Amino acid sequence: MTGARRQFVLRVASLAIIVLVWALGAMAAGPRLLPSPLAVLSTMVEEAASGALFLNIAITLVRVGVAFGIAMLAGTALGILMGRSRTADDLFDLPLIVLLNLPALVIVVLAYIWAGLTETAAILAVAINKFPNTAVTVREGTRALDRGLDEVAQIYKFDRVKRLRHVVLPQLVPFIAAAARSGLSLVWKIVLVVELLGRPNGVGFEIGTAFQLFDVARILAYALAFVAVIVAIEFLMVQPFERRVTRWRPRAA
Amino acid sequence: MRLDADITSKLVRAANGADIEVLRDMRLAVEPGRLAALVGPSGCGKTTFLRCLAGLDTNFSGRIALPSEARLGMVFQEPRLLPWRTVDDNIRLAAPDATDAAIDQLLGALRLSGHRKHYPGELSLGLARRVALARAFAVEPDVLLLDEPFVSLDALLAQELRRELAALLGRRPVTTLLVTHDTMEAAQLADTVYVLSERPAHVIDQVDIAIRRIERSAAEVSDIAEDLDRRLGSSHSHA
Repeated sequence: MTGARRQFVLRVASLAIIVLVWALGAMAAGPRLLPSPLAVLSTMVEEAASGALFLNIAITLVRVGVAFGIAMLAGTALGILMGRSRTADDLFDLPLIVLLNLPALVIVVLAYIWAGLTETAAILAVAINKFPNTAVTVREGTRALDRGLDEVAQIYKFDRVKRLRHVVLPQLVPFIAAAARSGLSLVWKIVLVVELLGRPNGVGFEIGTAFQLFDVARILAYALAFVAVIVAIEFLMVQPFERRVTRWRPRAA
Repeated sequence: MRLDADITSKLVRAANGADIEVLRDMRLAVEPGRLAALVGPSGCGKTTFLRCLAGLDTNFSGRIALPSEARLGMVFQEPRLLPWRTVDDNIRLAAPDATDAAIDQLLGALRLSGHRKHYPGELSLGLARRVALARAFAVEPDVLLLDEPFVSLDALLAQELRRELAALLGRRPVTTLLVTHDTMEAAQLADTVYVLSERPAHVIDQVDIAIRRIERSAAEVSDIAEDLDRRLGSSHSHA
């Protein structure tokens, strides 16, 4: 069996085992606590048929995308700044540690109190939760930048943009990719909390409603559908992007 | 362009925090289009001097007459190519104004034509050195600074690269400063050789080589090298 085939078979097998354990658990616990895989699937189909599933997932995805984008951009910029400038590092290090250790819930609640139950407050709260983590990761990458290449850029008079694009960013790609990967999963989890607490739509809002009705099938239907979307993004966007920007690296055999 | 340097003192902070004087009254000049070689004991400060000239280290007292708009080409001890850019892109990024014809000719002269689309990680050290040399020449430099550009290559390959460098300089003379520990290399390529002292380094001897580079026979080169070895040896009695 070839490596790729073997991997595929094993992945399908692990998925089948999870579904099987779930089905057995559902039989033991009863449909009220844990509905069977089929019941969840039929709820998913119902929600999809009414269009509610797609609408809510789309709304949540937009929030994830915007918050993720803001956090990555701001975090990368601050990380590079702190990695390059001693002054900036001393200035921002403490606030960053505080922010890093502030519970997500506190940031979300305060954002809603100070900025109202608005879309802006929701997205900013999520971005503020994520960006310190990106900044710290990118700062590490910036500290490890190759000084020799910096000198080459100086000798051959690279301007700022050229230096950033051809010398600095390629060295930061592994760090930015690591931040992006952990970031995507962190951001979507916080987006659900934000929606639960203060938005009238989205996957988090639907799960909150289902919780009040004790509708476990609906909770699982939304959660699994959304996880599927996030996994698809990881496989179809994040990984190909990483492969593309690291194609110069000689592959391990 | 004439290169003129007069460094009265250059301190380097050692790991233990003490300041060590690496250069003192280090004076030299290279006439336009000529190649000067710097030879001296290892660790005496040749590379530090080159870095001062290149503007990579500005923390020294003294004066370097090199206008800021002067175009520099520099080859470091390691090739220092951007690993994520192809050979072609490495050269074009350094020399955005170079014409296709000029780059074609340069790559041909350095026998790199077949490697344009390769990434530096796919090249041998010898090839990567050639790319670094091509990059330095592609900017059509006013001043060329070479820091042991052929170190850790096998003798045959280093010889080949020296010939290629000589050919490039023959076609387009550039004011060049070559740092080397190899007196044969200096004897083969230089118009003038500056012999440096131990730390703190300064020029203790200047040897002008009258015979033109391309006309030097192997015997003449080894005579000059022997003479350089003698001068180096007599100044460092412990050697």
